Amino acid sequence: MQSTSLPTQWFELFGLPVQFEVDQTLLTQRFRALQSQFHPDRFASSSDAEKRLAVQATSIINEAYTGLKTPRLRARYLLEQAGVLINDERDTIQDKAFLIQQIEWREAIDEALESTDPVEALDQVADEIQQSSRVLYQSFTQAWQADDLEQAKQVVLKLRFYERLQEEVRRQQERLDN
Amino acid sequence: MALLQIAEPGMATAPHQRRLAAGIDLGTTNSLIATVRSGEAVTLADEQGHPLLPSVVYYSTQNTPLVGDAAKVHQLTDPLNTIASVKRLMGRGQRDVLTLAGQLPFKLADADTDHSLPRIATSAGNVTAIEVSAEILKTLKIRAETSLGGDLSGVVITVPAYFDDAQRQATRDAATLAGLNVYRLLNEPTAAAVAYGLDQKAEGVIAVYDLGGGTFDISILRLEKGVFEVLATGGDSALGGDDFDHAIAEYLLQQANLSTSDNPQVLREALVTARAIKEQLSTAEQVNAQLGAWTGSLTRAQLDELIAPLVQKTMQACRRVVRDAGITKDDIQQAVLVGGSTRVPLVRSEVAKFFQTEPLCSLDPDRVVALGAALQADVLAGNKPDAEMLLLDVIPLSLGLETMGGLVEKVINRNTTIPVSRAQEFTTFKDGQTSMSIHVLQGERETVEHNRSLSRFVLRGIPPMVAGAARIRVTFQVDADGLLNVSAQEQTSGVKASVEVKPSYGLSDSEIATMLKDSQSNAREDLEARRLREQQVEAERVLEAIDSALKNDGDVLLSTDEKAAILAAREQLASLRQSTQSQSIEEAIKQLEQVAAFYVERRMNHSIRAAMAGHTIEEFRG
Repeated sequence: MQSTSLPTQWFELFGLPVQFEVDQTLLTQRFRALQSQFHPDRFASSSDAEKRLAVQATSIINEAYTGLKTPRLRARYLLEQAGVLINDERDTIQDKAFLIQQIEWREAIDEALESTDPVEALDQVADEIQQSSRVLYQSFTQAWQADDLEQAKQVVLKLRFYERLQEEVRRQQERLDN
Repeated sequence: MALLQIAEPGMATAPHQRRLAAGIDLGTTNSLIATVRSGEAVTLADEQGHPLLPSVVYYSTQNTPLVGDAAKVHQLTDPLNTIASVKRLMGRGQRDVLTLAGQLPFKLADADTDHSLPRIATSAGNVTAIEVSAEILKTLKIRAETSLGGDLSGVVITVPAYFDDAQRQATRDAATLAGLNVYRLLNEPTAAAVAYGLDQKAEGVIAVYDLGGGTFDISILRLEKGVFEVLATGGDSALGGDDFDHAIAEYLLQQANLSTSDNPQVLREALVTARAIKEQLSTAEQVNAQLGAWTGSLTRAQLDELIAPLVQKTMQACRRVVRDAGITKDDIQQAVLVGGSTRVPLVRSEVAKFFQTEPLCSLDPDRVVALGAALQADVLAGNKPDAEMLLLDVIPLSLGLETMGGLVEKVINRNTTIPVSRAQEFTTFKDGQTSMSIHVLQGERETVEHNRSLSRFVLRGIPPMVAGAARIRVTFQVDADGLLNVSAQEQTSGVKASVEVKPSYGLSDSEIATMLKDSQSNAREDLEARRLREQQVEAERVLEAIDSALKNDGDVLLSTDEKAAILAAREQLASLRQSTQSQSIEEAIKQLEQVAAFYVERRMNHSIRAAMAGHTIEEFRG
């Protein structure tokens, strides 16, 4: 007999090869196909048990979709599947130059806020941060392909720093809006 | 409720009788009900031919409550018993309401505590916003059932996308009180997008700007081949045309040198005048005005100046939502106007300016939401088995938990696609700690007091351990209505606690049951006859579903013993299907469902695996 828990493997669920590069068009297409089949709206007049299962199934599909869409989560998931666990609070980054660069980004945000056109300046900083984080995607692919899991883990930790920077930019943008 | 309905693609579902379904727009100012007739969504009018039902309820000692135009006539003569704009109170606690109180032209009953459900004092007794809303829903239900000639199987009720969990729950409770089966709560802008998407064959990225009487929503959606994917939503659940009226009324009162502090009628009169001025200035450049002893005039430019700060607030929300959607304004192909307040010229011009496109308003902004809801209700009722329509919505406000120091840790971020389930682990902070209090919040701010408190519960019976050793996993599950369920489990011992989040200032299940009984005691016989009929039909459907499932994969997925157990429960139900006791049919259905529960799960599991296997085959081919 089969196990009763719903399958949760991200790549398998979407029929995608287990690798960092993801075909976004295919991902979206399959996301919609899965949702069409399992969304609770398809079970609106079904039993409560089925409704509950449909909610669980689509939660898993949504979670996997978000994970596969988001490069940091995707990379982190690959590592976890390979047995490398990441603890955002406890794991540290050794790369001093990277940490200094992070401080410089924070200063760049502050400077943008002080400038004559803070909205425009902040948008520009946001773009630069975005580009800089994209470079890390390539670093991850290289480390992953070379099977250097420790290096790959460092990249994922760095991506978390970029995510925090982006959150800070968003917070400031919202503050300026109001 | 059909058991085991997971259809394989291409497998024909058994034809069944068309079910009566409707979409309801429960608005701040007006409410509507719509249905799909011969493939087309239409609003249903009252006997006088009016589709709009004013969301006004009049309570008196003599009569049952009056709803709509019949209630509205008492607005000026008996303002305290004529309840309007009650949607603004839905899901609100005593404290929220007190901050609104200056604006509410009715009287609140004294509350026991800050956390109790606010009650409005009327001459027919104290009533909650949920009960007032239920009266409006009942009127619409009767209208639909008279017009369609039968009982409604289910409805879709729309809510502002920006409604939080408490406001959604209150809406669902009102529907329960009105005796409605709710298929789904649907976000108003999403409903409007459905109406436009299907009517105008719109595709691509669209922005829906929905400004109603008391609420504002802005949603960005991607429309593609029948899939309506909400990318982000934002808004303000306490901003609408009512606030325009208040801004104008304040100006008028100032001009007329009148005070409203001791006379609710003066405020009501000022509001009615303000509203008329606002409506006239949608077309006229200048109108004459009169309030009390004062006469004067108001120009469009003056109106614009009075409401500009409010309109600006909506534009801020637009900026935020574009960012949340991860797109730029250039990606938006079309802006759509929804809600009566988008008739105000300043609103139109500001929306056009912001989205750099002339906004679309070809469907009646008052009706479009109800029409979209009717289209979804028709699909959910199973009347369109081949429909490809799929709505993927998001949660409007982040959900989180209180942590040390009165801070909020977010568990699910706003604009996450629903349904969603997410877990977070916490630990004890004292040696030997055996219980943990869990406080669920909704909102974007970092501190507890600035967010909406949804629920508090306590996980007890944690085995005593050193601080930091227990692992308490708190799981948030948000369903397709945007409603939250929270459960907590200590991982090492398995101790569990869970709550269906019922806000402290909502109605409890037993209160709803009592209210239902009270309202239906005179119609009890009717009710029993109806329930029996429903259960008989239900039994047929359940039997049909289980037979078709067993035929399809019963031998593959079940052992001989398992199949025998299910068949035994099936026989039990089959022998009772024409019983005159609704209770015993209901029990037999429940029994069969329970026995077959693992089979349902196995089928779901199997069909997901089949879907996955399908991809793999494609991979090899591709």
